[in-house]
Amino acid sequence: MKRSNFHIVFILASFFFFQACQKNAPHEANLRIGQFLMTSDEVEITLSKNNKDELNKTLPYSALTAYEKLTPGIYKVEVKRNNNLLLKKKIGIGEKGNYSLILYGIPKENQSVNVETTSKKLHSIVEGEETHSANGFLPQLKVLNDEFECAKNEAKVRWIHLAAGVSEISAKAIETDKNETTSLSTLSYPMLAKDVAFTAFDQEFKWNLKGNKISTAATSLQLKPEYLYTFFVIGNQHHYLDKLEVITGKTKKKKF
Amino acid sequence: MGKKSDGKLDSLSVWALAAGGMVGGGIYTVLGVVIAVSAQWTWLSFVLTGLIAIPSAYSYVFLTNKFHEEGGAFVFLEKVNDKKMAGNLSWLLILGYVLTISVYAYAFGHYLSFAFHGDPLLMRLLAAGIIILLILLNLAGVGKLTKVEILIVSVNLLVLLALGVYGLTQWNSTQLVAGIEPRPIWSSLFGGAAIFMAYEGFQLLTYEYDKIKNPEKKFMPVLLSAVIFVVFLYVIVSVGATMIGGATSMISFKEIALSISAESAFGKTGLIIMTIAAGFATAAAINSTLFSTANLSKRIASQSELPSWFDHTNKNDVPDRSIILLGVLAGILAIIGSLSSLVEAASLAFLFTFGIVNWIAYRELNKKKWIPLLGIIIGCLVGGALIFRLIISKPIALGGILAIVLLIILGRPYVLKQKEKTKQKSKNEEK
Repeated sequence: MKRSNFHIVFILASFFFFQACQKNAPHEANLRIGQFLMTSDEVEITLSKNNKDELNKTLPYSALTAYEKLTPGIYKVEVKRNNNLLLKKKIGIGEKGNYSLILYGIPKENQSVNVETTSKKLHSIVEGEETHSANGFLPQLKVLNDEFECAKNEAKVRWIHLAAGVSEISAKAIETDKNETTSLSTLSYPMLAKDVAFTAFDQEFKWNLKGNKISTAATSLQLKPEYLYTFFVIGNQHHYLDKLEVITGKTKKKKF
Repeated sequence: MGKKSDGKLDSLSVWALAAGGMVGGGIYTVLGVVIAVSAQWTWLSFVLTGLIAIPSAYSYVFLTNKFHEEGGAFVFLEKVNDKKMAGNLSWLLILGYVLTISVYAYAFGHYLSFAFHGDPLLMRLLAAGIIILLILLNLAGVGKLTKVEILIVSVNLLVLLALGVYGLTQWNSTQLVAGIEPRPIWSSLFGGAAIFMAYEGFQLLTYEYDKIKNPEKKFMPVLLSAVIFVVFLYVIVSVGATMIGGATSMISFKEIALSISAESAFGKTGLIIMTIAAGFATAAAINSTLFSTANLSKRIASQSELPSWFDHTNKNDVPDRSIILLGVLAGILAIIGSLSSLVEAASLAFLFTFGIVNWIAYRELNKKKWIPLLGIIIGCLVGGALIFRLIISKPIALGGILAIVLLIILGRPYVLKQKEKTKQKSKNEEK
């Protein structure tokens, strides 16, 4: 090895050694829970680690909690309705991560745990985490990554179709002052749209059922720069198939 | 470093070009795709597919040394008197290279666009721009810049190794499944299936056979050590980068996974270094693949297995039509395609090609037949898994690929026959 190459390797090795020595205790992660399982009963969600309950929430339909701190690790998540176990899954909570744990679908009476259609099972085998299956509208649990990247003068917006049984939905944003429209994708259940950046912050967001010009849900927001806005679009509990409801989650950009 | 006074490539140059050919576009684009499928077993996916790449490298070198001729799979098939298969495979191989170039351009556009907070339009413009630039450079006769490529490759390997090793020093196994569900060990088969193209780059060296110094003695150990090194590098980077970025971010930002990881580790400095490394590495990979594929097309055309239109060269002795056609096709795919689809289609093309090469080597070898056989067995397993994945997740894309293959098998003889007829007719008219 040439002398100059040796110096480069030595400097790099020293740098990594000192960086490694500076490692601190694990940084906590932030997790919020969205309860969008279509049921009139409250749903109990428990996150446990090493057989110890770390987080327990009982939430009604359409509830979205604030972010809660969690220590990194692999958690067992259990979702119960009237003490009946609907979903059970293991998930990893990483250091400094921002996550939304969402529940969606329509549970049946005396539903068994983790019921999956053959299509969902096959897609899970080959696609893993990128599976987006309707699962016959049966209950599902998913963790959304709330990390995002944006410029200092930008806000980001995304939305997810969680109205089980409802056909494709289109979304658009209309800049309040100029009436300029930005398309925000057309999605089928339970797809998540890509982030869209906004530099104009006064926006009205509208959702239409496919082929229908009249919006079935709308919300106006004054966006803040360096924030990610996630719209969870769900069915209205009392007019499920013809009205939509929008739950808005807000996440501040993580500093590196 | 580089070419020695006799104009031949020394062992270190061959090693760097082989390793760089694989890593150049590979790990930058495929990491997020494989993590989504295999999660904490991502490293095993790279090992598994590495176990196809290593025997395939052995087979490529053995056959190139045996036939003493550059040209790769096309030449091997010609030499074993399977001209029809050689023609079919050469078309498929060219398709695979076009897909590969499009993946590299896609990665180039994403990595650079991300650094400037660009929108999808900027990404597409950058992807198209780099291809146009490299088409023009090639047409001007600049072509393969071996010394520049070796320099880029060396820096690129150092940057990736540094990121991977730094990530390993931050060991926290939860990061491998951060934000996702842990996956079973067999998922590594499906993960590997999706990203096999990450290893294809080494075989471009077989097109440079006549430029390699003492190939009978040196080519085998040099190429094998390069492939083995890349397997280790992929394992280190896949684990290390995920330790820093976390699995879910590697998936969410799969197009720019390594930039996310570098920024998480070293802030803006990390992002800038990774963007420069990715930009140069992908551009070098596009250039060498475009150059080699255009020359391969010319060679195939000269053997009448492609229309003679591809045999045309400009005043700089560059196969201009091939360069333009292949570059434009790759550019269009980079603009309209999705990352997973492009990577999977390219992986399928190369799994098939490597399978054929291993099969020929198996037939031609008298000893050590187990080496190509190992490549064939694991290749069949991984290929089967990829076809199964495509049937379930992208049946239309698979249908499209099969239609193209069918078109090649059925349409190629027709196209060549028509060309021959036209040529004959014009000759008769001249008389």
